[in-house]
Amino acid sequence: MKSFRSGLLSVLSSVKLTISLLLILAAMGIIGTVLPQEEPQEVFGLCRLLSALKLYDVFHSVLFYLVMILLTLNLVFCSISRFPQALKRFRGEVEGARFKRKETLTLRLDPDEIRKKIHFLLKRRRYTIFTSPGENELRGQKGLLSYLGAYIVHAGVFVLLVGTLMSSLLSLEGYVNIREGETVDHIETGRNNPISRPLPFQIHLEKFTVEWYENGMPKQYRSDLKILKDGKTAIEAPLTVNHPIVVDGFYIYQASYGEMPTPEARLLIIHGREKIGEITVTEGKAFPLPRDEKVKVSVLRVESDFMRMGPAVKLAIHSDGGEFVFWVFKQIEEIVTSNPGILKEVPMINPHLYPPYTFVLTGLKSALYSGLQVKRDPGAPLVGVGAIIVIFGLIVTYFISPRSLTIRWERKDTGTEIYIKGTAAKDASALNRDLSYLIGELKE
Amino acid sequence: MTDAKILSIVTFVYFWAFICYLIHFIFASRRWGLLASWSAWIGFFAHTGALILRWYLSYLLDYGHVPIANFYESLIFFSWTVCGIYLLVEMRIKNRTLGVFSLPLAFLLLAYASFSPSVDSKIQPLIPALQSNWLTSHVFTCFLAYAAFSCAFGLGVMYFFSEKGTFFSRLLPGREIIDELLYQTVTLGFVFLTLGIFTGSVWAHYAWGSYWSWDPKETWSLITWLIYALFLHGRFVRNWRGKRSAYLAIAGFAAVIFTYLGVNYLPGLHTYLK
Repeated sequence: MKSFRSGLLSVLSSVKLTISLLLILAAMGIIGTVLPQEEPQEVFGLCRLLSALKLYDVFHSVLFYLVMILLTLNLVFCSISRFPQALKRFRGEVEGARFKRKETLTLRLDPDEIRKKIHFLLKRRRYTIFTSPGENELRGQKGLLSYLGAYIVHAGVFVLLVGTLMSSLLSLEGYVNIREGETVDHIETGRNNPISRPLPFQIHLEKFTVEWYENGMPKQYRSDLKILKDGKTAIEAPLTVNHPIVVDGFYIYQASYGEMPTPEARLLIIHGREKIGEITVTEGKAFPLPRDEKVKVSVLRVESDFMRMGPAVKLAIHSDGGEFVFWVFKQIEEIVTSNPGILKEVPMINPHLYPPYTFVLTGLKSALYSGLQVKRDPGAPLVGVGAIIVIFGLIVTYFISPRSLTIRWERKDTGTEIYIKGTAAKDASALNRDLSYLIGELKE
Repeated sequence: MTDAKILSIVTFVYFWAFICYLIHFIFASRRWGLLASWSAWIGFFAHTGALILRWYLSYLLDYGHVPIANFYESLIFFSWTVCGIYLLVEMRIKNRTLGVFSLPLAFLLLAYASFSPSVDSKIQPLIPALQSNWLTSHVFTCFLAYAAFSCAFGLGVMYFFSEKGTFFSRLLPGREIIDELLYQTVTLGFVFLTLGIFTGSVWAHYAWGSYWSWDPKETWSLITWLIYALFLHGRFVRNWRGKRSAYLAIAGFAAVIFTYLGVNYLPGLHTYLK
């Protein structure tokens, strides 16, 4: 049992695992972009295998989560197993020297003065000074934080990964299309099976505007919103792309816009050959038939595209002679031309079914809607914090070069002899600069 | 003189600089080397001037944005960063060999931008999604990363030619120097790519309503990041050097190119380059 545990630990903290996981992740990324991430309608043959492996939705597959969890564990175990060594270097107990340089010079100064001067110079170059056992020795080190850089990066990546996990488990995202003057209090979540979810506030769209540049490119999409809480206006602000409105942890985004049919249509009524007039009708309501006011016409349905034959309105006329129910198509002429005799076969689509009246659908009323995306993501702040830690760690790792200077001196007949030993872990040039500075100042 | 005209001249200057670097490389001639550097610097300054002019002109048109908002602008900016990062490396290492790789890339990018009929050089206004302060920092960091990786790619190719005893090895810097420089340019690119991904994430959080949506460009930038992360881990922990590093630098740059151009052929949110 113990060997299994230690075996597992050694696998989890191995760099081989890191390398394999990075490669697998890269491969999944390639699959996720090259293979269309939408399941085909008919699933058979190879597609069936791909579907079983969830390769049509790689980034939400069990395999992907497994790789991410393994990577997180690997990161934690690797970092823990290597951290003590790095900490020793950070504390200056072990030197990680790649570049070394030695210098010797003789000065006509007494040791006390030299000690003071070196102390001063090292401090000025912002070296941390370590007191060494020998009276005639000083050691200064700089940039030691760089040894911990990789661990700071790993800590940042860890925080970031936890944040993304929180996002995928806890975030709530939905869309709502809202017309001018309308107020909504729920959003539709889920891509395939939309579920309506209530919001703790109401969104009211005052006005939606699109601005264009002279060359026809869109300049701005803008929704003037009112956020209502308990019937009172809490926020009143314009919403534009790139500038979401934040309410109670929910971000509201300007996502899209479009035209939405309304339950209203325009009907032209012809009596014999005379056009009586055009009126606006509403689905579910009835209107008195002009010139024969006793007869009521009910508008049963208003459809923007009925049976793929374009906009249509379903009317029911209640008269003494009985009930006449029929559809009025906007494109009735085209329908008749391509299907001669259809009016006799299917009297339901004859707009002339109640003579001498003829009904002509001149158009449906549509209104602009603003498409809003509403999202609450408790993981996002954590991802941000992780990202900042990663950047800080990378800068510390790659742009700070740890170096150390050890200076020893000895009184000789000719004066005081000074031995300088400089080491640097990454960048020899920074060390050389510090060394020349030190020697130059000492000689003065 | 418009910015596009200056840039088409800069294209030729870069080509000329490339020829000079090549002659310097083959004949080890100091004079041609100096001429190459001078040409590259002159081209780079004119290039910088053209970018500033284009920026200024966009304000005259009342659009007012940094010239990094469409495909043409991304190409000329990429070319600018390639040349700039190269000159920085040249100053640091005082060796001009890499110019043989970097200058032709800067030239090709600019030539494609200037002379391809399918690339529109008109200054266009910003669509709503691009109207953000994050545009500059995101594009700037990403292209600096691309440019640094292009240097690493050049060094990776160079490494394979530097085998001892071959014709080229006498002309190239030592293998350790190439390897060390390769590592340094990858490091620089990695830091900038990380910054580029993070700034993009913050921007996406405000513009698209999600800091990460597995858009092909996002995914490919992650793939690129993973390849270079592999490079760095292999180097630190397993002491991968030489050929392995060179292969990874080349593979990484292939991913960079796909991130930049390839994903345009896949559906996604980053369609501004079309």
